[in-house]
Formats: sequence, structure tokens, C-alpha cells
Amino acid sequence: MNKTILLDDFEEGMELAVPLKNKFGQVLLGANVKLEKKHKNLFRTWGIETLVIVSDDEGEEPIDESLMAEAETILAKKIYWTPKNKFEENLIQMGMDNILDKLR
Amino acid sequence: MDLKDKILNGVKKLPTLPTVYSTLSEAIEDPRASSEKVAKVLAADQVSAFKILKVANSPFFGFRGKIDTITQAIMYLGFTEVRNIVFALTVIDFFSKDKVLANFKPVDFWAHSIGVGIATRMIGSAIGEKSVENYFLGGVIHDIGKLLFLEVAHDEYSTVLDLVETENISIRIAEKKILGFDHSYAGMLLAEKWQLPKNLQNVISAHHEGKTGDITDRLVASVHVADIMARMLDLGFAGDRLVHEPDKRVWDILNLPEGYFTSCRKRLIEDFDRTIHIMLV
Repeated sequence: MNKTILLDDFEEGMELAVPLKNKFGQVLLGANVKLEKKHKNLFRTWGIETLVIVSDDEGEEPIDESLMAEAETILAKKIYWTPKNKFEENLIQMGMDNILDKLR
Repeated sequence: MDLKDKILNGVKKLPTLPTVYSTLSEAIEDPRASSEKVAKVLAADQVSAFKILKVANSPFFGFRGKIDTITQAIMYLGFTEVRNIVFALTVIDFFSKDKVLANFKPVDFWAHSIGVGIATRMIGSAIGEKSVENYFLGGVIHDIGKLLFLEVAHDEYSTVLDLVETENISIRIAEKKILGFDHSYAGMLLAEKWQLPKNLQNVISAHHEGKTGDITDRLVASVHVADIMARMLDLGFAGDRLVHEPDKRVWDILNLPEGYFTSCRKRLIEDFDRTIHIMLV
């Protein structure tokens, strides 16, 4: 499973899931590269703010169904639209994660 | 006198911003300005100088605890960003914090605005914006028109907030129903009085649409999305609890990295918690 992280959350040993590109689409580092300490400053110099890394988060405990239903009810009171693209889906997921954190 | 005239008169009667801001702006605009000269202007008010240093050390600026003097703040953040911090603090102090209406408290309003400011700046960095100086301030002042209503049309705004509660509609729709125009328009009146730069005027007038005539206005698009993020995460209170639908065009303007929102959520909340304690105490 891939996960997007902020550069501030960089940790040595993480593995790039997709090639790292600059804003012009040029590949700066290939996929599957294991990140070393030196990379963090290098990325900062390149203006990189986020990284897509390989993550084993799917090993996390599944969310209880009733908890999920409660979170969905709370969210539905605030949102009257359906997501049109991956950005909006992720925006809603952010809201969902937040409510679940508060309910747990 | 109709309501619009009442608001217009209210704007005319509002005082100009405190002299520290205009003195600072003059000092910065002087082509021979030195950081020492600007620092001297700011250091004249010890309480403000102390607050500026605390804000400059806020985590979202990236210099956690490294800035000890106003001269260092100018060196690390630049003249414009320091001036913007002063402006944000000045505007927060400018409006009365006692004019509470039902569940709408200025302190919660400013918490929301600061949350939008932090999120706007984070988006600015994420999209590789070179000049992010106006991003935090743009977020902080985007809803300034609401405070103008609170200040000069207190009773009418109370009706607006009642309508939000009873009909569960957005504050913007309620403003239009009761007052005939919304806080974007009211905010523009104030922005013109204070002669704010054009890009900040655009933020105030167009943050709900997420775009101006200029499709490359990334600041307006960033504030539009940041407002949605702050509402989604309940950062402060903007007058209603609804999360408005993003304008579909902002995604092309911003081109954010995939998975951006879930990746920055915890950082945004952490930065928000720390910053509101600095700016609202």
C-alpha cells in the first residue's frame, strides 16, 4: 500500500513507492529507492514537500462498523455534496479520519 | 437609511489601522530600509515585539524556536512576512472580542481564520509557490466582512445567525437573505478603506468561488480549499458548521499531490493548536 507523507515526517529507511518528480515532471529519484538521511536536505533543496512511500498501514486494526457508521452520520450533517474527483475523495477521507480519531 | 447605507457609514466611521502598521509599511517601502531600522520601529512596542517573535517561531514558518530577535525575524522571514504578521495581529486586536452573538464568538471566529491561514500557507508550500508571504495573512483575513457586520450591524447579524441555526443553511446564504449581500462584499469595503493590496482584496471578495478572473490566482484557490479544510476539521467556528463544495476548477489551479489532505491533517491540527494560543492570548 502506498502512502503520501509530508517531508517533515521523513524517516530514514522509508521506500519510495513511485518515482519522485519535480514540478516539471522530471524524475529526480526512481521508485523503490530506500531513503537515507542525506535525502531529506536534498529534497528540501529541490522544493519537495510530499513523498509517496511504501507503507504497511493496512496491517492496522480494522475500524469497528458501528464506529464507522457513527462517523459517517456526523460527516453527513456537514457535507451535502458528493466527491467529484480523487482530491475531493481525499478531502472527505481527511474529515472521516478526524472524526474517527475523536470517537476512538 | 437602508442597511447597505448603514454598513457603508459604519465603514467610514471605523478608525484607520493603528500607526504601528503604517509606520512599519513606510519603513519597509523605503528603498534604503535596513532590517535594523524596521526592527527599531517594531521594538518601540515591547508587547507587540514579543508577540511577533512568538508568531515568527510558530511551527508552520519552519523556524521553531530559532528566532530570538526582531532583526532575526526579518532576516529569516523577510520584510513582507513580518509586516503581514504585524497586520494579522493588528486586525485581531482591532475588532472587539466582546461582541458575542448567540453561539458566534469573535475568539472562535479568529481561531477559524488562523486555521485557514495556516492551511493556506501549507498549501502554498505544497504547490511549490515561491512567494508564500501573503498566504498566511490571506487566510487570516478572508472572512473579515463578518466582523464588520458584527461591529456595525449587530442586531441584524443576530437575525442572520438565528436563520443559520433554524434553517441549517450557510452563513453566506443567510447574510444574503437578511442583509441583501454577504461578507465578501462587506469585507471588500473594508479592504478598500484599508487600501489592502489587490491580491488580498481578491481573497476577500472571491474566496467562496475559489477563483478570480485570473485563473492563475493560486492564492485565492488556496484560501478556498483551506477554508474547506478548516471547516472539515472543526478548526474554530466560521458561523455555520457546513463544509461547502469545492469549486472544481481549483484542482487544476493547485495541482496538489495525491493524498495530500490525509497526509497533512495531523500537522495542521498540531500547528493550529500551538498558534491559536500564541495569537489569541
